[in-house]
Amino acid sequence: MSEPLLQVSDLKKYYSLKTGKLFGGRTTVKAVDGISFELAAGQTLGIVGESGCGKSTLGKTIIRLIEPTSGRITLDGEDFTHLTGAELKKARRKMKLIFQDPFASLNPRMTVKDIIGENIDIDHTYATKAERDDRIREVMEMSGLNLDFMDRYPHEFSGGQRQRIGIARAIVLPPKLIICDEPVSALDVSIQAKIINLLKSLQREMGLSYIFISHDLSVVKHISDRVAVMYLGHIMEISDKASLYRSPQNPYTQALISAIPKMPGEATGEKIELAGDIPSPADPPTGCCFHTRCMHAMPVCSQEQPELKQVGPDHWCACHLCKQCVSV
Amino acid sequence: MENNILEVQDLSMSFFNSHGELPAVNHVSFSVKKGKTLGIVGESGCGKSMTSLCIMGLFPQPPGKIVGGQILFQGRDLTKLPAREMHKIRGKGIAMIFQEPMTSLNPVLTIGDQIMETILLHEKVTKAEAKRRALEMINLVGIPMPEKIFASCPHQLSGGMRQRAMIAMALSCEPDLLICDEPTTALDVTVQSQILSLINRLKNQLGTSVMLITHDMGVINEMADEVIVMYAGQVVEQAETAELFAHPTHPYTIGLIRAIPMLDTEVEELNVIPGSVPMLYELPEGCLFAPRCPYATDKCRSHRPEITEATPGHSVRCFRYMSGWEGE
Repeated sequence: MSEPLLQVSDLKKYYSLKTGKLFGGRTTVKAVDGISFELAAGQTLGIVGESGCGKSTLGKTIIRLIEPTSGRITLDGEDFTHLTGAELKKARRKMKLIFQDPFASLNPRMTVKDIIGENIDIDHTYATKAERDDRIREVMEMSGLNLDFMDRYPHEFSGGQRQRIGIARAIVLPPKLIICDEPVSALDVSIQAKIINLLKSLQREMGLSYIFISHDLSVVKHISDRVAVMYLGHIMEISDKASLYRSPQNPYTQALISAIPKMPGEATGEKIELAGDIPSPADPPTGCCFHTRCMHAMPVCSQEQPELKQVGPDHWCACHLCKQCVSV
Repeated sequence: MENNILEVQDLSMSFFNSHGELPAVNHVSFSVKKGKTLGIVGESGCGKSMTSLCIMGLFPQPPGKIVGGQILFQGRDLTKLPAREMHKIRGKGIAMIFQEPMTSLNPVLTIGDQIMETILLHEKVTKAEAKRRALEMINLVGIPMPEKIFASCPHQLSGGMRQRAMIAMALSCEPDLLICDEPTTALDVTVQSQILSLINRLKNQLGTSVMLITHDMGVINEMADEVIVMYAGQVVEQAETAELFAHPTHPYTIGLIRAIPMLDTEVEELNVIPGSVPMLYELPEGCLFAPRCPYATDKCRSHRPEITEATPGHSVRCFRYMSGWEGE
């Protein structure tokens, strides 16, 4: 296998919180706790999980908008974790982020042209203004934006249009990797379909890699090559998508897939209803973080944290039950 | 009809502002049968929430005004009831659950006080009796440790718990009709499946009729007995749930269903509906969907179709299913 574009190993992000007690103790919230994966060029890794599982923190930690507590990020063969100053700025050109809320992520006082062009301006990529504007026009066309709207402001656009502006901004200096943090969650289904199609066609044209963060398993399945399932800062299962959706190994993944309201024609297996809510990340359960809600919990689950084990050709799962089924 | 708990007949509600008259709810007719669930589906801005607010008499007034039609609840026309009478129906006859429980609960009152408030307002009971009933309701919606939740403020609860508290409050006076406006949109899938099965369980236990508003076709499929599809303030299709998914008829319904990525099938590109939902001040002259419809003819662009029965029990607002259709 060729060198992966992005390698993340044992990435951790801990936050320190005051407990609220007088002469207070402090407690740590393990938002991202020992995440490792690889992403090949031109591929899409989907990251799914419920709110509070650390998937957005993971995205922001990879691009170092949030500094990781420990761990290593290797981008394109270069250690990204300890870069500073001009080198960091240069390396960040390869990695861009698209945000969930297209209403909060665009500066309301800048025109569309300037929002998209800001990257170019900071970078001084083009010598003349005409060249710069040509490039902006080009990416606006690629993103499906009407060129007449170049001088308008974000508030004049609908949610789907704004998300296109966010995408145009991300590709104006061609990156290698785009981290999409819930890019379609705020959109209606018919708009969502358009944005997903756009992301896929850009991937084909530009050879982009995506990390696609979402809580929607159907959308993730549609766009990803591999999928990782997160729960309380841990990867519970990571696999190529066919294997993950056909035979999920982790009880959490099974429950997650069964909980999606199904359309007619989709296989509806037995509904697995999980009791309770996600535990607070400030006070995670000992052992396997899922054992408090798991229907197969065994005594060992509350004592020992399961490691990711290989259960198929490209299928890893962190669960004590999976010991028996490993035969690869 | 005897077994219809709610009958909405030709209801129109418009906003009056500087653009003139904006028809937010446009000649809408439907009925909710006793003990059944009616699903209302559509994208944002299609008028589904406004319809429910009309029924509750909670739409902003002015600028909104009911300009025609009637809402018959147990034989009484709600549009003509004086405010004092409406107070008696809201909460007692018809109760409503909103999308975002955090913004619909009072942040400075405990959950218990808020549930008791409803009971004390509508029933002649002592405070002690109201408290007993509130605790019983909290227990009924599956919250462990009712006493603790009774004394908690909304911010101390998780999203799923808050939504349960909302349901407990809505059902505390045993309403005949429960309107759920996107009850699970803000929740995670595993919690969503808990809440949906709770609504179903209570519907069967208490014999409440449910009007469920959502944008999620999967939720509709699993919950509703009958569905209406709304577009730009109009009902465009109405059928029993199984029939609607087996034979979606209106081009908008077909487009909407095809735009959703399915878990079981693999497609390279998602189907999209071109264009976007029209603003209320720029509604087209003919059929409201004509500018986005692949089948539109000159007749569609100049005349508005009426809703008619395509097959028994399945109504659709489209010229394709009327005699004299020539295009394709």
